[in-house]
Amino acid sequence: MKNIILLILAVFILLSCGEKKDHQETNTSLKPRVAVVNYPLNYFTIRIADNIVDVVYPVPGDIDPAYWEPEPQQVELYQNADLIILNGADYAKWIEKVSLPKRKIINSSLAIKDNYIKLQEGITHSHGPKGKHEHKGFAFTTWLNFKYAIIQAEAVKDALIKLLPDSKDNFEKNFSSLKNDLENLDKRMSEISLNISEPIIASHHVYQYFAEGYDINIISVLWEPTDMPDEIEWEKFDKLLKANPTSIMIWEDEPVPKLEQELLKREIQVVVFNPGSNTPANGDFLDLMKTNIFNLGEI
Amino acid sequence: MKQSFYLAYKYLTFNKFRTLVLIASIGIIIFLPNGLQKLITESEQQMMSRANSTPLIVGAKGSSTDLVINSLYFQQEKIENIKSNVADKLDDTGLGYSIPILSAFNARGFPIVGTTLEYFTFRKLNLQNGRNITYIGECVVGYKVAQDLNLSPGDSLISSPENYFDFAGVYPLKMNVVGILNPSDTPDDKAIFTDLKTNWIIVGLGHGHQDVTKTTDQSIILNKDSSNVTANAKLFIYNEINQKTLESFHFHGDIRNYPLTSVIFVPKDQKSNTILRGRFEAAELPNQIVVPVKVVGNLLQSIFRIKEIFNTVFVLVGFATILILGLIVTLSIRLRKDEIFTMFTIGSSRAKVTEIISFELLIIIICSAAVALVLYYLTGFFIEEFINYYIIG
Repeated sequence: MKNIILLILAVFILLSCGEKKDHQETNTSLKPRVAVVNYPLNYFTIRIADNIVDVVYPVPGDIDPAYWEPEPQQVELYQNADLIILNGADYAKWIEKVSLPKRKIINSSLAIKDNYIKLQEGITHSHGPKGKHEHKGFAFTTWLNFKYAIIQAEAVKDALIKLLPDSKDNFEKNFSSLKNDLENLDKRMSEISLNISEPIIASHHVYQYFAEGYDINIISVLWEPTDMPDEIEWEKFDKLLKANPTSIMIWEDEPVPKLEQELLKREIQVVVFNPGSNTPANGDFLDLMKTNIFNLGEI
Repeated sequence: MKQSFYLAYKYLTFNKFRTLVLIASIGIIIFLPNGLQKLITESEQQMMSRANSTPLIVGAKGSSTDLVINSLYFQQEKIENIKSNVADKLDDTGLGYSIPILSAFNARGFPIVGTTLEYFTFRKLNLQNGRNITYIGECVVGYKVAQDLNLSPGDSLISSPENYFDFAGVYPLKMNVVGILNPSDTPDDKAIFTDLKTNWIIVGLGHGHQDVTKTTDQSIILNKDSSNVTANAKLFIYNEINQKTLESFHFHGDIRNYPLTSVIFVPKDQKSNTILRGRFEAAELPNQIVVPVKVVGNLLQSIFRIKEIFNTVFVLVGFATILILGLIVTLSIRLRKDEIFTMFTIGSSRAKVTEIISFELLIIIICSAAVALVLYYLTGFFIEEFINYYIIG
């Protein structure tokens, strides 16, 4: 009898330890969770919050966050976050297909919404002769104008302060350091842009805010760095080049060698200017932008 | 006494019909005022509880009662819509937060309520089964909806085309049930909850179809130029949102102008509540703001006045019934004259005869009370119908 009682007690203790462990696992992080939709916002939040919050950014590294389509469990991560930071300017098409808690959402580029650049490219559709048109949308790489990046970072800071007022001093201090870094980028880019008198051809329509912010004439095609364009594309390119003589073409990533050679034949230098939408393979956002600016400055 | 009881019982069971009629009529007379009191008291409690838990409602100018009935009980009264940017403007005041509502459609007799995720936290609604809404086209249903329609996560519901509003077109949508809510004993048990965007798709402000800018089927193209393609009515609009069609769904026009039926506003504190109401009264903000407790209170006042009338009637009817009962007993004794004489003859005393007749009355009264009690208990099952038909109606 005594042995049975001891056995029951032992089982009870073991089960309690198990439960306690589960309870502990559930409570490993009591930090507020902040969910973001792209890498620049991820970077800004980590810089400003500095471990005071858990940043949720579930976009895989090989996918453009603007076109990512989350699974239900990933949407739940956003739903359960304490703060959701959007980029604004129609960034992340998945947002309009899911249900997110309205109160927790902030648009980091709300302060510049009157300056959103309307997309000219693409074809819209409508229904019937008097039907409303589909909205063409806006360009969304707002952070490539570093002045706007500062505004977005400030919005992140303000949202974090609202979420955690007691950490205001920390957030202000960290934001100040980030702002300083972004201002340096802006200053350096402004200096370089003064020396760019010719138009620049871009491989993709992602440099609108960059072009506007630094007064650079950028004409875009729709080429992938991994795909060699066909003859018709090259013909169109040559016509474009004739109308807009230039020696610079900026790419989101290093184009294949064959493509680069064809461009060199046309006396066009390839400059890699990675927009930084997603997590870089090496370094961070600041490193990436410094590299971008350096690459452009070398021309 | 046991013998008197036995004789009384035997007499009553011998005259079954008369006994049952007496029990039923007395039982109903006892039940009526108490039953009505219960109906009204519990209805008042339920309605006031719902109203108390909702600080403020903003809607189009017009009947405040219809606005409150639509917002709290999802009765689809004909009220004017407001634009969705009303919710954004309310949020911008910084005085609290808004919960937009679009309650204009139904599915198999149950209202479809388009709202945001905040609604579930605000109303403390938890899931019994499944998960919450993730994508457009999904819905979460109340406990009674699931029970009555035998639904579980993975099933689907199609919205009905009828509605009480002047929407130019209504596009029935097959919605996916992803969750069932726990019982809450509120109108939420009988509602189907979707994201606002899903309701706007039912209105036709958003939809999904093949990409007309890339299609080779020219028969669906009305007009085409370098910047726009106009599709004609032949274009098939998807009536279901699933993994294949989700990507194609999009919205036309400005989302800030999309319709809502009302906005529940939750102020930060009492001061914010007063400030916001003041701004509406000063006409700084368009539309109307109502305090649900006041509106429901006024509505219930009318019911209370009717209750007083009924109570007076019941008292008079009860008095008349007692008189009639007395008359029946007197006449019954007269009719049983021979029977009572027989009882005296075989040795029964006057007291014994009185005891027997008293027991007859006692049994009738006890049984009547039991009938009244059962009816009183059953009344509890009709509170909702009473509210729906006689108060909200």
